[in-house]
Amino acid sequence: MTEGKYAIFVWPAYAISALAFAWMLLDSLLSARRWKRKVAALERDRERGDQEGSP
Amino acid sequence: MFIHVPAAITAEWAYACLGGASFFALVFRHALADAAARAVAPLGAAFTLLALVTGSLWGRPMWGTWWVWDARLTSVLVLFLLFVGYIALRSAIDDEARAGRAAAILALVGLINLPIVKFSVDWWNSLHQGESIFRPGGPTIATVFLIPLGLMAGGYMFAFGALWLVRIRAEVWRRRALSLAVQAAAR
Repeated sequence: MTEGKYAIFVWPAYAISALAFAWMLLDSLLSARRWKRKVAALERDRERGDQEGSP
Repeated sequence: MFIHVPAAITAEWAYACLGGASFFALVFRHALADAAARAVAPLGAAFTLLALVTGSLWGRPMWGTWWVWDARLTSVLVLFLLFVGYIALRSAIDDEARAGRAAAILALVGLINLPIVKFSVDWWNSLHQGESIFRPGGPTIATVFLIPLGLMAGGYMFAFGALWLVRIRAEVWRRRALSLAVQAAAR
């Protein structure tokens, strides 16, 4: 390690950056997955409703 | 330097994207532009907060203080508050169309802050160092620092672009889900 007395400032900066990226990645991917599943479920319900309603 | 500067550049770019998307959403009533604007705001807020926090961690050993109310730092704080205000305004109004229009106007008004952030170190005395990369006459940073800085900035921008696309896709699905839910309720 060559950061010397600045290590106490350098490593927290990297750690906070890693946390921020982890949050952005997880929030984006989980949100996309959640809404995709919701749409799939609603479309299944609609198709089921169409089939039940058809003569 | 290798994480603070890329975060700051990405934060400014994110606001330019928010402004551009808001313009198309407001003027052309483009639904995808509105979705893109809504999707970019949390990313922009995160990158701006990252720039502020890492800048503070840099400033303490270099300037001897965590924070100073000078033009560059204050204008970046205003940038963060604009992102947060945009998110809050969209959440505060139930009618999504009205919320989108009101937030788009806020985003467009806030565009005036971008040149203030960029030129604040030239216009006012500041503890923050002057422009050293995007300046007439070329960068003043040594190549040995400029290359890794450029690579980091490119990586941040690529990550931002990829995350934005994922969030736009999520926003399109969210709208589709709301539309399907309304159709189901109307039956």
